[in-house]
Amino acid sequence: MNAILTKALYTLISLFVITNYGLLLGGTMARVRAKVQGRIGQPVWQPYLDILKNNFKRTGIYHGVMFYLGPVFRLAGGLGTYLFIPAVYGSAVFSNFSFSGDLLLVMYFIFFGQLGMALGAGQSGHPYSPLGVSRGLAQMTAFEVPFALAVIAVASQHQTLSITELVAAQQGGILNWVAFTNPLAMIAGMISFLGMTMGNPFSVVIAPQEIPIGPPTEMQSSFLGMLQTNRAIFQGAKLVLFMNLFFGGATNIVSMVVKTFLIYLYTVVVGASFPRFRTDQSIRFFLGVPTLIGIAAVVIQML
Amino acid sequence: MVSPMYLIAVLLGAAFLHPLFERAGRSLAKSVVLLVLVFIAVLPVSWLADLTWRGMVPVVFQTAGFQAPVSISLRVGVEEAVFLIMINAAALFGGIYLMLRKSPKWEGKVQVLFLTMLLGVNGLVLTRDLFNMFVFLEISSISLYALLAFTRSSDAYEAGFKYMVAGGIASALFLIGVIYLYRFTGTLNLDVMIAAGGGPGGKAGLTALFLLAAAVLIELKPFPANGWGADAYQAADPGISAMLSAVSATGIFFVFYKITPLLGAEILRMAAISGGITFAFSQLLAMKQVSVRRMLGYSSIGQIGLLTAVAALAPMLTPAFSQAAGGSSLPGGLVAGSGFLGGGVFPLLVLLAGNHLFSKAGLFWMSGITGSVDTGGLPERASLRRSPAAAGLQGLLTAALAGFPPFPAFWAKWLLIMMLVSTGSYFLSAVILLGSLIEAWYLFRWFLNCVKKPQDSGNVHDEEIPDDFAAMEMDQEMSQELRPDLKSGGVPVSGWGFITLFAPLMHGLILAAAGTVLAFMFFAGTPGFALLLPLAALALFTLLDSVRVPFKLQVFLGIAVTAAYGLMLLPGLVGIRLVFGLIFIAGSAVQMVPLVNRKGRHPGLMGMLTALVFSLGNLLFFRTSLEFFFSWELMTVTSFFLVSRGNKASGAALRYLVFSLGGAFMILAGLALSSSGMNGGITAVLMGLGFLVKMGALGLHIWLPGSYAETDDDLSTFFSSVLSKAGLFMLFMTAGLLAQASFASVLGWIGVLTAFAGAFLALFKEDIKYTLAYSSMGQVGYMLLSFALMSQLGWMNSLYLAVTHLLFKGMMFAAIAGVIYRTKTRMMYQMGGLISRMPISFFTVLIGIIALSGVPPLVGFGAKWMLYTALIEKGWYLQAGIAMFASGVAFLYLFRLIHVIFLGQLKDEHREVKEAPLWFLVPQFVGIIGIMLFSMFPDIILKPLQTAVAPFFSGDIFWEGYTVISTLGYWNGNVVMYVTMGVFLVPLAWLLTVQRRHTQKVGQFNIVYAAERPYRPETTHFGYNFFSPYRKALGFLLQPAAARFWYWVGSIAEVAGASIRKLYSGNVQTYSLWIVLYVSIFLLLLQGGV
Repeated sequence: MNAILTKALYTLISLFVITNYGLLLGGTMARVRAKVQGRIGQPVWQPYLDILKNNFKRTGIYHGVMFYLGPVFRLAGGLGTYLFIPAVYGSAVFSNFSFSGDLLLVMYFIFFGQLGMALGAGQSGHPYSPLGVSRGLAQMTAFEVPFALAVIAVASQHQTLSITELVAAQQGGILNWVAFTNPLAMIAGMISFLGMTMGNPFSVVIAPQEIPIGPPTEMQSSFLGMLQTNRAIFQGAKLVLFMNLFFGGATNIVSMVVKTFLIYLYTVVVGASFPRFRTDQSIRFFLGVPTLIGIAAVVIQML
Repeated sequence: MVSPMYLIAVLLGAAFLHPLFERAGRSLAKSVVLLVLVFIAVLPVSWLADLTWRGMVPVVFQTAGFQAPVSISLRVGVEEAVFLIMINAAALFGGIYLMLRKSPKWEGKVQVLFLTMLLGVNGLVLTRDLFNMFVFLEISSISLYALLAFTRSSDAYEAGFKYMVAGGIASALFLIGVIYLYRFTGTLNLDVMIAAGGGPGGKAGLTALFLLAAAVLIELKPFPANGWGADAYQAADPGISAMLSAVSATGIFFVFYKITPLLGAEILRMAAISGGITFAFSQLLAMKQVSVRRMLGYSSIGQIGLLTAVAALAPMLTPAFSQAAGGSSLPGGLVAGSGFLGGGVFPLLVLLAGNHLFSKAGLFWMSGITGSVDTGGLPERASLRRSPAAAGLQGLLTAALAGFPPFPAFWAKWLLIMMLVSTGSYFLSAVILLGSLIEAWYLFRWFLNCVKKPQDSGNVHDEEIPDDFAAMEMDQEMSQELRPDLKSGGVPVSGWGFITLFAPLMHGLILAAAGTVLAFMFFAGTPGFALLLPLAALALFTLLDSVRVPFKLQVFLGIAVTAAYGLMLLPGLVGIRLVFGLIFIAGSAVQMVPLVNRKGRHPGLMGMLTALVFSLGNLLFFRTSLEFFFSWELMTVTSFFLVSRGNKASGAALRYLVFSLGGAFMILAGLALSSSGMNGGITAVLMGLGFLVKMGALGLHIWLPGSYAETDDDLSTFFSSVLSKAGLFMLFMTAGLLAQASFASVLGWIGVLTAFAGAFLALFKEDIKYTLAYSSMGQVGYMLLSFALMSQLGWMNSLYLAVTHLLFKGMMFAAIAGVIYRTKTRMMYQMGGLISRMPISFFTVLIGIIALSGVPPLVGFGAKWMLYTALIEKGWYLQAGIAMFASGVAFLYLFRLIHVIFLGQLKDEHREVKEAPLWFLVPQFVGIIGIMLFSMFPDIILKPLQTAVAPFFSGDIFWEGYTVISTLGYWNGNVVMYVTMGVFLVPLAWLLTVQRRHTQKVGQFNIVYAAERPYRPETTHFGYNFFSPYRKALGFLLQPAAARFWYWVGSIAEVAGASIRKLYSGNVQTYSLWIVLYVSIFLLLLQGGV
């Protein structure tokens, strides 16, 4: 009983940390983007304000059971993904539930939230929602290919699918990181990470500036608040995952913050520098060079 | 023993006295003819009884105290008795057929000719004297010329004339040959000549024998000297064509059989080659025919060619029989010189000849009864669909002719291929199998054209997207389609009554009875009688249909017998067989439940279905390769008939049949090679390909989408979730053969590419059933890939997938069948928003797609985990990459499926639809319970699977509580489930409690729509061409390369048929020229060969 209570406490701490970190990170990066574009930008704590505002709205419109459950699925997906990844190597508090499954579990659990959200958005009856879903899912299958190849290359390199063991294998110096021992896998993985974060040039999915499109089209009030919360957590989970896969993981909170910040910054830099792809262009892009790099990484492992 | 002279005397007497009887009354004359026919049919039966049970020896009867050739010399032995039983039985029913039909009337003159023809044929079979033979040949031929012409059409006269010219040439050759033989040997008696050691020697002797053989062969209509024969079949009355094929041709074949001991190796070799060529080319020719009777005629010619080849090969095959008797595949009765019908090649000939005679005559009659002139089918008012009895009968006769079990040709085909392969005649075996495949193709094409529905173009292999806003029209059509029972009253409307079916019905019964007896013989002495349960089920339900037992009752009975079958037989199984047993039997029993919802009568449906399930079940128990092949073919034919019931399924059904049969023939060839001791690469390739066809592997899959999708909605699930695993099961059973060398990796690549292709093709389908069909193809690809890994995790995953696919695909098909039933459309974009009307179906599909796509925490993830772990362990990294891509693409079509049907905008016409009927929901509940159980406690399925594969692979994975640990990683399904529930329930609770007072549900059109008002649900629902970016990016992969390849193969056969057809100008001169050329080339080759 004590063990379960301790685990519950640890889980709450871990979630608290990642949620706040994710929100602050989002706010920071928004400011970075603003600087690039010559604006002052929003305050760093703006994401908190958005979530609070949405949760205190007087009306909360919904279109049916699945719509109602969509954000729940989404947030559950984000939470679950994070909870199956060990965030800090060697830390009992941040090991989460990584004992219940390996890398494959994390890769497939990412679908959980996406599916639920897509279904929720679908029930809204708004044509732009499924339009965004169609684009997003199509793009996702494409960037999953180089990512899968990268994961396979890393797993075969270290003969394990356990994230903890992967991080363990990268300890003992920067040159032990997969980024240096298996650079091709890292490159393939990091290119697909651009797609995964849905920033430019792969941002057509939610087309944020021009028109309301994509899954959140019909979402407002507490539903939207939930999605915003998830965005922070899910972003954090993905960052932690890539840090663990390619950049040696983290042995303490500070190194985790530094590494994930830099990984995120990389996507922002790319996003600020490149215009947007159409969906079919991004599909062809991911199945082109990044996939070839992924195949090369895998073939090297086969030799 | 009754003297055969009575046979001759009665026939002759009746023919001569017929005018007198007719003067006394037409009915009296007919009755006399009928009595005579009964007499001549019964007499040989008494002989056979004497010869077998009473132990009498064969007798040669002489007439009037003289010796032949002055008198007639008739022999009665087992061979003669058996052939006469068959011939005279066909003649009896042929007479009844002619008598029962209304027009044209069976005139007195024709009756006389009929009797004299029979006299000739009976004499031909009985006589042992060469000159007698000539006389009888003339009697039968002259009668036939006249019979051919009796319809008095110009075609018939012409055909009779051509036949006469050809017959004249043959008679002349025969007579000259007989004269020479008499000159050389001093005798005309066959027995004396054979006793003296065969025919005379030397070139002159050989020439004499050659003339004799050539005459008989010409009478048997060899390619290419047979145009006159085909013309005769086409132009004659169907009743006469039937007799031409069943009586005359069989009788003359018996003559050939009789003289084979005389002919010597060179002539026999030439005859065998001629027979083989005739068989092959006739099938090609038949394929291109428009006229039904000409097609059947070519089929007859081909079958007689096959018989000729087999009889000519007898000296080579007989020793093979003796050798094979030591093996496992032959019942003792077939050993040469003993037991059944004297053993050796003769029983084989009887099976082939009898099967052909009864089925072909039956089909000729059916063409006459139904008025089917054109192979393109029947006008709607006369469609066979309106008469289940006629349709069933034609199906039965066609199946018999094509050599499906249990009909005699099936056993003959088995024996023949086994013997030929064991003697090294690979080429001939291949020709026979290929010819049989083509024959099945055109025969079943004709059958399907006769039974298809009016809206069926016969060429539906892919979704058909209606024009814009054609919904109203479609509704009307669909509502008719859904109630076929209202249209078909069971009694045909085109003027032919049930009674006219008597003759073909009797032939059908004879074939079925003979087949059953053979099955008992082949499976005697073993507990193999269970193998006949499918036939028993078929018979039982046919009986129930005929006494009009309500369909709902039949379904309950079907479920009950299936359950009983399972309870009786499953406990005897262990390991992998048990896993598949549960899939086949329990899976089928549950999926029969939605059938209860059907209204009206559905003759044949439950019979075929239970027979299918039982034959699938019987696959689990096979011990010999024959037992396996029997069940396999039975499964093929029953499932074919189920597919053909679909509204637009005739084209798909034909493809299914041809591919299945092609696969089965490859398996047969593989089995034959394997039983003759060749277990090398070619055997593995043949059998592997055969199983892959059944699984719909990429390249061999083009039959799959149409068959799965065009089958009735409540039957599709059997094909997808149950039947597709039969191939997989057999792969497991033959794994030892396939595991060798590089086959496993080839299989692996085929598997992963099939998985990708299935998912990718499913992505772009608007028709929900095609989506599910391709989805099944993809899933089977994963099973194949996992199997090919040949490792513990791989095999466990293959079995795990087989079981879980049954659960989720079964329940999804049931849910979708319910949706189609309610919405009356299969096009997804015409649905939408159905979640509010059919919430249970939505929930089922939701669970189904989560499970199928492999998203944790449901069962599907277990399969993904095992698959990738096993692939990476094995070092198949690229395959793992493609598999992950495929699984991503699968996620796309699954989302589309649920979104476009259940979410988005509800259409006006669907505002009142109800939840699917309870019967559709039952399998869904079972599926959901199963999935939830296995998801929560993966060990209850994984541990038994681990045990099942334990005899083959051990020890890579182990357990710690609920955690399964591989060499690479670990997975605890139980904790994953709890964590997922936790992270799901907490936000939900928060929404439900804290945020409750804010929320309010709004109407369908209450959306933020870019300053515009939504116009109609149709224009607001995003569903059509859902993944257009994907099509833009990767659409080039959609090229139907496989379909084109197979179309090209089919075209080659058709072009070959068409070009050979040019030999047949229809001119009597040309036909005569071909005969002369045939004889000359025969002689040249013979002389050159000496």
